[in-house]
Amino acid sequence: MIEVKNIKKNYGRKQVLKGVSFTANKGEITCLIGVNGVGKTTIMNAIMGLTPINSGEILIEGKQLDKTSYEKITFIPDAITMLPQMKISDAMAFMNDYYQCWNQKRANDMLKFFRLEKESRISELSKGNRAKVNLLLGLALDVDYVLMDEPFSGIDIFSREQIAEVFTSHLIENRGVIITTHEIHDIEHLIDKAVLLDDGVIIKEFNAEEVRENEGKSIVDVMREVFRV
Amino acid sequence: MKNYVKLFNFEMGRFLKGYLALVGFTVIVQVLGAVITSRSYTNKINEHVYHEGMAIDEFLSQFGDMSMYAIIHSLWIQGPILFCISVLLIYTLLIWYRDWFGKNTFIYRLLMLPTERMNIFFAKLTTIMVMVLSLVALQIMLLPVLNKLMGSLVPEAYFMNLSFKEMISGFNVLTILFPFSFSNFMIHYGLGLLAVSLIFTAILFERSFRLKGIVYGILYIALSLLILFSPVIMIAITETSYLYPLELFYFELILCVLVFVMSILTSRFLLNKKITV
Amino acid sequence: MGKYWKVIIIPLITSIVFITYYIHLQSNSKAIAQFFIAKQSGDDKEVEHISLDTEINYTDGREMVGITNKGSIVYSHLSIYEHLKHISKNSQINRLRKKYGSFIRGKQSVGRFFEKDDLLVHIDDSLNPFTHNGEKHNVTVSIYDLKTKEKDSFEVKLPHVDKYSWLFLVTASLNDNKLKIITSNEYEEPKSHITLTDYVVYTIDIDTKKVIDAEKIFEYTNEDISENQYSTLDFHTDKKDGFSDFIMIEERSYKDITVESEEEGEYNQQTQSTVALKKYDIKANKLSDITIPKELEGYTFEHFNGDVLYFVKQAEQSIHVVGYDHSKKKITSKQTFDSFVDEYGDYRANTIFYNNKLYVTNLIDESKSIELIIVDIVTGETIYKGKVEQKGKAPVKDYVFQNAFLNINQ
Repeated sequence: MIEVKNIKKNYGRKQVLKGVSFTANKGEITCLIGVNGVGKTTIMNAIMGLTPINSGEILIEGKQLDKTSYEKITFIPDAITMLPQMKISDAMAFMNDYYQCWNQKRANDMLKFFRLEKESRISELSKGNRAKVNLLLGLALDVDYVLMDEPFSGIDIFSREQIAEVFTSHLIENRGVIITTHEIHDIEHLIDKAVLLDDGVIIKEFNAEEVRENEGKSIVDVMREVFRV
Repeated sequence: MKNYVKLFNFEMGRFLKGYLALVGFTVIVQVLGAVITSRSYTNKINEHVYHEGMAIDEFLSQFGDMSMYAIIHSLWIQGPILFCISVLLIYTLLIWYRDWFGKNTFIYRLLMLPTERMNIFFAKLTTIMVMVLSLVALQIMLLPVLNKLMGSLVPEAYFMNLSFKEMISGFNVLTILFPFSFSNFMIHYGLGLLAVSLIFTAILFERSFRLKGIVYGILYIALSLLILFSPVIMIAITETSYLYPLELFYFELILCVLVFVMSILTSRFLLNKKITV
Repeated sequence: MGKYWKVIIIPLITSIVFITYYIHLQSNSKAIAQFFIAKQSGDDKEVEHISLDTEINYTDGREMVGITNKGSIVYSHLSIYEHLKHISKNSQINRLRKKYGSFIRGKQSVGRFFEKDDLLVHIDDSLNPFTHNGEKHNVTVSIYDLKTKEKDSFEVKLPHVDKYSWLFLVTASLNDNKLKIITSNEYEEPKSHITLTDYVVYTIDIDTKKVIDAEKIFEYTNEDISENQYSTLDFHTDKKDGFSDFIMIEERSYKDITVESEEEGEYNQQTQSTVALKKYDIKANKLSDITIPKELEGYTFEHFNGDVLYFVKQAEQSIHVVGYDHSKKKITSKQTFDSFVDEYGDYRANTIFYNNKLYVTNLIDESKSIELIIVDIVTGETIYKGKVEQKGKAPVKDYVFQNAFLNINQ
């Protein structure tokens, strides 16, 4: 379980997170929803130790993040995390070099699935393909938790469909996923838990399945209610 | 350790093309300098001695003999050296900033590697030091070669063969780069290592606190320099030295180690707790 | 190795280059280290604390080397640490540290030490007006009696010093608990802007810690005589590192003359000679003029031992050392040493007087060796004679020495 406990974060005088708390369980997809600038990416960065928080605590399986955590949790930001001059094969070799949890077979399977050429240079790929490589590099790690930041942002419709397929595949089975997106339509039906954020605070956190079954509302319906109030 | 070596290898690979370009540039310019300078001198010999019949002694007293001094004092040698120094100084900043700036988000990957983040710091530090030392080594190899080359292009009677030490003594920067004693070599490059690590810490301050970080970085360097020079400053203020020269030397040595350790620990803290992508 | 070639090959080649470079330098250094002062006659003890500093010009370039009776060191190959170790090894401070311990600390960088038996006096001569924040011209005297282990330190204000811009400590004497310090006090004549120097003796009563007397010995005006001639005033004390009883005040004249030579053409050469000499008896507070005999014209005054004054003159192929007893007005000794002039005409024998010994160094064997002669000036006896040689199979073949300066350590 990932536990985010009352985290606060300031950028200069501006407080972007004003005490955010939520949990994300293994085997569930938790979606952080909010308009741009509400602090979704900051939360992801904070969980991964990529930006310091001013107060609060983040625990992964009950422990604070350390170097070994990166064998259990991975983050797929909205831009590729490899050098542009690298070939896809170089990037895969790099991952293989450093991560014990790197699953070469799965990486090769995904390469085929995404119809990517191993010898293509990252700098020469389309935005959609770059997002796919990014996804590949993250998901080919045998980790318990996957964090994805805006995986569909600015991507053509065909790539988006392919990426969305990933969410229904075995690739994220039994993993805890935290995803931020404001383009929820493609994966709405897959989300287990929704966390609605506005102005650095959680304004609603709910189980999507329960809301669907008990109230007959979709996540988008709840979003409409919450954000229009 | 294994991850450090991997990262070091990776950092070396990232600058390899730039490094080879520097090596190529240095070799080409210096060899060209030796050839052009020798040729223009032999042209003078042809003109005055062979065509006008000037005596060799008279020629030598008028134009002097030819030796490595002629190019060591010129931009042919000094240019590439100063250029390499400048590039490596700029690269000391770039080696960090290139991971953040532009379309690059490689810093995400580096910081998320399942290894001590200080390995990144040490890999970058070692890369800079190895690049510096290997370029200095190249110059050590190149000078005697240039001497031989010039010797083969200029008639023997007009050429003064210089020993390596004589060549170095002709250009002050070289005496700093190739100290004559091994202990001084350790001191010079130890201070170089210290300077690079201080710059790295200042960069990490900037990367952690952005605009405020620039001020912190500058203050950090100022504080480190203050610590390093504190014995000398104390002597200047009190006009009295309580330490004997050798004690002062040991004390400075301890201060250097202290400032280096401080820089490492501060960088470690910043990389682990304060850095932001 | 494979993909790690970059981190193996580049550092490996770099290391090999540096190792080769330093091995090469080391072997050069080792070759030069084979030079030593070989005894020809006398006692080796005489040269134990002596180093001949010279420049060797050989196939690998030029090097400053220090040659002792044990071997030699190449100064440029010394690290900062070795250099500091070398200079502090036989220094006066080091000797005093061993004897007087922590009393020396903090005092080594300013002022001067004067030793009389087991009594050590330190006089802080940082007297210039830019220090001591307005308390200008204060002198700090620190005394340590090794026998009684008593330490004392006090500050005295020198009287009537406001007009001076700079004060220098010349020497000091200690008799009957009265410490006399002699200073040269500079000031500028406001109208003419000429620098004048007063030589003043301040008497300090150690018991009351007060200046009880201040007396100007004489005044000196430093002016260039002509465009190619000037003079300086030098002080010679009878003891180099201790209290003095007498001071010789020498006016030396320097003159540039143009020499015409068939080979070299015209060139300037500087000649120097002592033109006036005074003796100051510190205890008796008496200044007397000394008449230099005619035959010592062109000589320079270098040393004195009691009433005997020693004069030196460099000649074309020799160096003359003359002892002159000024009270008897009689020349007491005359010695001549060879002085070989090298091809540049510059490098001659050097003489140094130290603790009543005369040290003569001379470049010999076409500048391939340096001769060292030590003479006891009281007896006139040559107590040591030696020359620079190479150990073993003479590793350095093609070389010449240029200049030879003697370093006499404590």
